[in-house]
Amino acid sequence: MTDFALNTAPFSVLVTSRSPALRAALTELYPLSLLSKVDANTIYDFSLDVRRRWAGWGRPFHVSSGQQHFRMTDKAQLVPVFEWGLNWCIASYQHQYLAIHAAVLEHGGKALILPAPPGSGKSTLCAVLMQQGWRLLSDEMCLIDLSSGLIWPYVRPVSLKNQSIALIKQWYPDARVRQITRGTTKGTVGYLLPSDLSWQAYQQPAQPAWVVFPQYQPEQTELMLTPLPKADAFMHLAYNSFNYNVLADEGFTALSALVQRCATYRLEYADINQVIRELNALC
Amino acid sequence: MATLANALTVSQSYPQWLQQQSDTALLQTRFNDGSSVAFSLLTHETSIAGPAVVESVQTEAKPT
Repeated sequence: MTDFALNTAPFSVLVTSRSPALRAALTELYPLSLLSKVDANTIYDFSLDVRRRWAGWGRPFHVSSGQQHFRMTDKAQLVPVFEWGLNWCIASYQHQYLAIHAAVLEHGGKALILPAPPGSGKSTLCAVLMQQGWRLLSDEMCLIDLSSGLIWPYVRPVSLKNQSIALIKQWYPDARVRQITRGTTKGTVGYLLPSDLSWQAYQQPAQPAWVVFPQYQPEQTELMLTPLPKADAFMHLAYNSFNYNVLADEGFTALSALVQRCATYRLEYADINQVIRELNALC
Repeated sequence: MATLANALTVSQSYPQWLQQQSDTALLQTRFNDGSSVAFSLLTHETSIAGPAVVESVQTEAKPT
């Protein structure tokens, strides 16, 4: 058994695995200081079990948390399935934060929230802004503190898919994309390592300042950054939340406070350089 | 008993549940741009409460 812990603040995860390959792969994605031996005296936030369902090398791995099944996978896709499993754990079981499906970056102490459904270009945009010097808090989860209203980082590698991988490598030849896996349910997936700045401040929250709903529109010639009525922004954020319905009135109150203090926009774009200029101008 | 419909002078186009709730069963937020939202403590429904755009959701996002 190759058990280990992944301590990506604010959550710690106990990983039970019979595959040394998984831990080895994760050392390419996370600082070694965050991967540790299991401490019997520590209470972990989540546990993820990665086991062979049957004996034999050709058999699939079973990824689960306790008695809850997540997914079967073969060895080649262990890393993306592990990363998705971690997202699944947090989306399903943590309720100390209001969690919204969104990328979050910080500049000058202020956080930019980019909520968006898959296919909107969220992760690509997130990767570009990080490469331009914004601090990454997360490319997947906006974690809102229910009492302070601050946004807590959950720094992990940025999940890039399909043509985004080549685009990021083309635009930023020094970008460190690791563990590229082909043939997943989402196509080809690769992980862009967070910037040093992002890791250095991986436990430092930020004040929410802007909520921008991005939509990549390849036919569009001019970027459009349009103010969005706050009630509309609220509803879209609620719709993109993992646990708004669980938190009920606490969620409503926290989300109301966040929207009240943020400027809210809809962003339609085709040219990434226009986006960089426009979002930098917000600061 | 005062209702949210009275308080915000909402039109008939608002969701039925919002017009029928008493103030004590609702949380309301009026944002600094004039728009507002309401949440039912009884049914946990959320709706835009003004200006007049009707939208109501029961939410659960999925991780990607």
